[in-house]
Amino acid sequence: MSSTLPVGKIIIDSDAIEFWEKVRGKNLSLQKCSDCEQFRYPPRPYCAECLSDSYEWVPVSGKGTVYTFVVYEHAFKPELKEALPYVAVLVELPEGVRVWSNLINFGDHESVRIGMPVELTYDEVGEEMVFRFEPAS
Amino acid sequence: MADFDISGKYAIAGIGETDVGKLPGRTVHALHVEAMAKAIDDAGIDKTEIDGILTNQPTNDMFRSYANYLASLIHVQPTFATDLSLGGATPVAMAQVAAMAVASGMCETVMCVHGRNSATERDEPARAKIRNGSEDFELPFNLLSAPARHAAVARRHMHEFGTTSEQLAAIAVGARRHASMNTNATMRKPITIEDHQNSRWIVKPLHLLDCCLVSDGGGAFIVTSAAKAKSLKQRPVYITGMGQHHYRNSLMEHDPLTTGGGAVSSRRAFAMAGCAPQDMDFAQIYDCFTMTTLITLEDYGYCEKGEGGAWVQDGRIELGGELPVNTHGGLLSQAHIEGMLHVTEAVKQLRGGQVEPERQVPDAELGVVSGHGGSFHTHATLVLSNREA
Repeated sequence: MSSTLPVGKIIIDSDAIEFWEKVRGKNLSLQKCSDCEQFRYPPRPYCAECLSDSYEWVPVSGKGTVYTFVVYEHAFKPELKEALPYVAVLVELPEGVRVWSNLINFGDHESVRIGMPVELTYDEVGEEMVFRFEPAS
Repeated sequence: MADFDISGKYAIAGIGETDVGKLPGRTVHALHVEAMAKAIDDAGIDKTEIDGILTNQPTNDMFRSYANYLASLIHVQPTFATDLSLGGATPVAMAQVAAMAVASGMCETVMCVHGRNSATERDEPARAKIRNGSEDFELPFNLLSAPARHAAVARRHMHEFGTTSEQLAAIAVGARRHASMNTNATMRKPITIEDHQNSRWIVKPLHLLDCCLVSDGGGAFIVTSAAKAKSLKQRPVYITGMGQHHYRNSLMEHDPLTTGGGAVSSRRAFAMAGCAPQDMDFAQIYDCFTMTTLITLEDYGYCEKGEGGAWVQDGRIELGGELPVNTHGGLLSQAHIEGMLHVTEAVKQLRGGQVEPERQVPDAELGVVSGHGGSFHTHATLVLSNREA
């Protein structure tokens, strides 16, 4: 399923290679610290809480809740003009982290609410694969 | 002639070193964290004791605050942080500035850190633009621009406390009124609440008139000893309170989302100055967006968290009101010179007779200046006084 919302720049450094490989394989996963068992995001080699570098990747549940969101009415890049209005959403995952993404496949952006349940979807736009969210069915 | 003898009073208590050579597959950030973790372990302290951090910039990247980025990577929130850049002299300078920072009382335990991956950096992406550090997980979703990040905070503040766009309008109207009296301001035509509400949406819930200007310009100030300042020609403006608090580098890890470093930073600055927020005759508040002013005023203790919307109404923050805010028009209506002109304006107000008479705060003696970096990521507070000690 592909939306028409463009994918922005994806920059991948050594700390993020595994993460984006999993996204490309439609298997969004989070690092879980092997020592203090906290999930973390964005991905990084060290746990920010206990400074351990031991972790395992755990696929996400796919559920989430809208923590906050914004509706773009102004195109900050010319190629985004056609996509207006679009929604950037900060989704709270049950794993205990918050991730930025887009909300897609919703009817009217006036209906978007903080606290709305959402579910994970994958969006292949051109050559790029990203994870996005849509209202929970 | 130093105010006190700093020699021998501060010491290095922990060190960390990573392996060296060619370390492919490790980012420069990972190397910094490893070095910090080792130093914390060597010193035998808990990482939460780190309340100051000094670093340089990575060699193939550019951060608004790399020090705060590193602090966020180990989840500490320092009350003193800065990047230094003196090339190979930087690590030595870190030790010097660390000692000065501890001597000032702004922090007690300073992490000084540097790492590089110059042998393998060709294999890592170089990013041209200055960044906060979380952009790699924002840009893929076209989450870009400061208005959007601040709009995200605004939306949450409105949800948690019922703050409205009309309430934010009062901040824009006040700043514009002050700019209209300032011959060195960009936007001088007064606006109304209705004008603010009718201004086009940028990123909902922020309108155009909620957003700062984009400007050219510059500002500077000179700091010296009180004794020397008194011997010179202008009335001295004394630095009486200093505070910083750096919250995180990314909204994904801000919790709660409706505040920043302002609460701790201002508390420390007012305490050092021996005064209360309510003693201020004016406040020059970093106002990249109207919501920034509102949240900062809450965090500074002018009202309870969540009551900022009501507090800024009815001219309270305008000249003639209880707390004139941004007597020059601020970033919203004068110009965006990154808050430098908030400092120079404060100085002018405290010297007296250096601004248009209708903009002079009568009998001003005390003022506070706030600084805000990124989107509630970094924060600093300065309390100034024209009273002789």
